[in-house]
Amino acid sequence: MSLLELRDVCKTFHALGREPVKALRDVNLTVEAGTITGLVGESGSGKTTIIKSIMGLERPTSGTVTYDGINIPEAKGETLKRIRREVQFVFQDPTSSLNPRMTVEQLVGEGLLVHKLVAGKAQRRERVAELLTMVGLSDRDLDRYPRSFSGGQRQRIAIARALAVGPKLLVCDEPVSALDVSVQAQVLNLLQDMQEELGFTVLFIAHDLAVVRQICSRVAVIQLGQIVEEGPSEDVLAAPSHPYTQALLAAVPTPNPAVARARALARLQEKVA
Amino acid sequence: MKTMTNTPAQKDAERRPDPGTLLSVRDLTIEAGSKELSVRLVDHFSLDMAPGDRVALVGESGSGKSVTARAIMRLDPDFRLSGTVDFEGQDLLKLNEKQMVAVRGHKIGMVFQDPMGALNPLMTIGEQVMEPLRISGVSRAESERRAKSVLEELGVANAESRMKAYPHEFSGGMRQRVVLAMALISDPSLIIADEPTTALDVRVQEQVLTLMDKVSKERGLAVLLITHDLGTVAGFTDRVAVMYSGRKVDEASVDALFSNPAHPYTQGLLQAVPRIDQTVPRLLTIPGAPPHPLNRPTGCAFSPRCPFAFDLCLVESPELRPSPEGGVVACHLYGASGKDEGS
Repeated sequence: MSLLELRDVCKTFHALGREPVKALRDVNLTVEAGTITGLVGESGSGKTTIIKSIMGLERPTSGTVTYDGINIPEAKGETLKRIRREVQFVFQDPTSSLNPRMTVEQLVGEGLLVHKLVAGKAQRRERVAELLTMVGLSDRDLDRYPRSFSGGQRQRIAIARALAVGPKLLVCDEPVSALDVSVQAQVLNLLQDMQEELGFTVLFIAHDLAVVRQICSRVAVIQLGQIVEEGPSEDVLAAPSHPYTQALLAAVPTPNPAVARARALARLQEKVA
Repeated sequence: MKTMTNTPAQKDAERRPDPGTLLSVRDLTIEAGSKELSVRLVDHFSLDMAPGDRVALVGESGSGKSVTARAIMRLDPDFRLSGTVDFEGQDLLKLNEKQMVAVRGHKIGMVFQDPMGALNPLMTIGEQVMEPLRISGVSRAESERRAKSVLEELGVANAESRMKAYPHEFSGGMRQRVVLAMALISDPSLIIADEPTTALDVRVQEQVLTLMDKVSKERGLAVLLITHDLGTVAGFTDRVAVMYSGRKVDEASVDALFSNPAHPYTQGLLQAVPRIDQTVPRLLTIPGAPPHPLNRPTGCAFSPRCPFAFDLCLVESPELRPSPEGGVVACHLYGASGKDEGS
């Protein structure tokens, strides 16, 4: 069953005195319930426009964005509130996505109060402490501010904040690309564990194909506003059929000096020939 | 003729690098803060580079890698530096600011992570690429000619007209080429590149690295590449030095480091990289986080996170010793007082 579906979505931006920009061109994307689906593309490919259309911040020029059968741009009142609770986001840079003047308790617990999921502040504190333990932090961190945490810990806070309201769909926009390699592995494992434990659905937006291969069961590749390839990530990454996917794969750095040098040599010879 | 007394002068003479060395950093120690509350950011860091050498300095955020690179250029006047930084026969730490200006951007070029932050949005690309030459008194016509030629060398099409453009009109990859052009225009013998490709898309990252590879080979240019990503290191550098909590803990040739990493921290870093050529059910991680410089554990700073730590690691900080693979490693697993061989 699909939880999120984009059908023939087009989005054109108009600006005075310039050619209109076609940010999305007939995008079809299905995210099956209970899976981690990857969306891969470079800067300017339309990833952000897709996220904004899922958030209801951009209305598609044509086509539909449906969550659990609801057309997102049309949603109002209680329905909109339900979507706002069930669809949560984790962004790339936890330093700018967390309000520096709020404590961890306030940050993680904000949604609990907004959606009236807890009876009062005492219950909120208890629930936030549970969430922190779940993501590998502790109740000692409740009264601390984001600045006193490392990048990886901040991203854990952002994940706890998203999970607090019990989402069904988690949209992660490059959640690990700002992190160190060792921390990146910790956060990826955390996401994978949480997803297995709680069974929510993830749309995972990334540019690093090795990361996608590690955690996504399906992957869609987007180039210049069009999905150029889509399928099980094992198949797509083992035998990409579209030249763009092939080019992306060929650019992934290999932690193997002999292979990397051979590739560098091949690239230089390509240029000479 | 060497006696064991080791007067300071003799010690100094022993340390003098051989003439084939371009850069020789010896016991560089960097401290910040007031005299009362001083933080040691980098502790007795040493590194040698020959002309044309390409060395990577790898470590997590806070390991001291960027601070080290910036200290070589003396970019942070508030930090207290000790040790020596011999570059082309002179100790950079002994130069005054005026002499240092002649080194910065002229003999040593620097490339930073974020090209938008490194470029002035109100100046044209051409003005910025020419700036190092103009400062040292080269004529405008000659500067323009050289700026055009270096931009062309870096694959900027229509260099002459693009020089009149502003940074916002360039893509991320093109901006990084401009920053590289600024670093190269005075024909330096060393480039320090601090995470030059981290902010870029994979394909652009590959283009920039390929370009740096080609240019440095053609010019015989030495490159010190600072990064947290071991993946980008493999194809580009000859040698890798790994920093942890302000100290160099591992150094080896790139092949030895990837095939047989000596330090447990290096082993952990390598295992944490997701691989496109293989899948594992779960990525292996290094548990915990690096210590704060004010709160380093006694003994080896890595011991709380190390799967092989034993009693000695908790009390004594390991010295750098030759590693089995021909590099150096600071780990008791390889020490005379510990076991003979690491696992």
